[in-house]
Amino acid sequence: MTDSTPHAREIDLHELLDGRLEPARRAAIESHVAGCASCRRSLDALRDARTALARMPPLDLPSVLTERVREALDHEAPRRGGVRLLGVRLAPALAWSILAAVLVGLVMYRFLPRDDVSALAGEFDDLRREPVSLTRITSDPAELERYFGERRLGFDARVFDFGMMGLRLIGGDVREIAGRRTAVFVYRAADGSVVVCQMYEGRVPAAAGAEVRRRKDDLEFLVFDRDRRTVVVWQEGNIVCALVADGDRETTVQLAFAKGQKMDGGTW
Amino acid sequence: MPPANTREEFEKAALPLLPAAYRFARRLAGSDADAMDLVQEAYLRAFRTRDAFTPGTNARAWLFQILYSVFVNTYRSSRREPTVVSLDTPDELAAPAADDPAADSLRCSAPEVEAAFGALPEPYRSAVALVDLEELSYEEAAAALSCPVGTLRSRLFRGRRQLAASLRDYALRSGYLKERSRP
Repeated sequence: MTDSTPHAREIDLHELLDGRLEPARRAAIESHVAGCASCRRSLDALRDARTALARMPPLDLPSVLTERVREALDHEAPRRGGVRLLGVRLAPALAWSILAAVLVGLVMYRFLPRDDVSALAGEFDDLRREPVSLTRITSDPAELERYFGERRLGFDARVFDFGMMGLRLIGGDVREIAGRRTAVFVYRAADGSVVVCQMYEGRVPAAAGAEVRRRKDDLEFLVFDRDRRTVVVWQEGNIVCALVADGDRETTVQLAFAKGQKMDGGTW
Repeated sequence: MPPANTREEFEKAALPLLPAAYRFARRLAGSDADAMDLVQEAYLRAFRTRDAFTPGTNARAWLFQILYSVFVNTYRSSRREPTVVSLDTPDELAAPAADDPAADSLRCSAPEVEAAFGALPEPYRSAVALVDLEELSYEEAAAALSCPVGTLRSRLFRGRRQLAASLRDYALRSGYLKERSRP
């Protein structure tokens, strides 16, 4: 091929590159390019320029842009009943279902009677944390009894000294548990395990759910297991007493026997 | 894109196109901030005019058309762009010169390619961006740029040719390529 040979039109080179030529035209152009160094260089230059574009850094969508567009559309046309919950946009039906469930749950938690034993065990979880959240911190049983007296519980909350059994008194509080004013006092053993005593006016919970019934003297002790915690409940007059511990079940029962026996004998 | 009469339907149809719209906007506007403003405005206008979209046609080209219109009317006027003096039809384009770059030896880096692309006059840049980067057909790109296919061809070919020449210059300056002696 000589310089006097007509070159391919540029449009043909581009359309060859883009695969837009009819088969016959394509064959003719390819044939010409194969024999024409000038057209071949031009085609290569165009092809390589296009290839070079692919080397440009990728343009990833900025994470904020989707939300920006949505917010702009919000001004234009608020979503029908669209609801944001904790920063998350939810379908209206789902959002309202969640809100309703939360409200019902809160109402039930606050106002509906919980299982007494579960309530007693649940209080234990709060009291075993460090630092313990008690209004009166004292290791003196007499001081804690005076505190309960000042709070006008309506009954005498006797605080037993379990020191001989390796339990140190931490302190006490008056709390609303299952809708009742309850005297709460907390002991801690050297190994960090915790025993919580609770007392309130009322009747012992229905015994149907008790795993074990134990008798000591004239008292009946109901023993429950709640999530690896032992709950021992017994009735003393018009007072319900409960011990909750996360240690060995029998040890907890023996502590309850000791306290019950002591109270029953009135020999504080 | 199916008919998108409600906000929810519009989002479902248009938001998946957001990455492509952003890329095109960024190629047009240059800066990230301008590109995001451009996309936001384009989506607002697309939403307002969603009834004008014909179901079954190319949604991406429709969205790009709106975006390009926003760019031309709002952004381009405030930017200093290289002047394009002629938009010849493709058939009037000159035959390739005999000393066109031997492109097989071009080894320009990504920033050099990006600079060469960014230096293209805007009508060329948008044509190259749509066809060579977003892989639209000539017809789709022409619709997006609201121009005849012939004009799209002209812009595209000139853009590619200028890009190839710029890359060759970069390569010569950087020593990747040695000037060929003319016959």
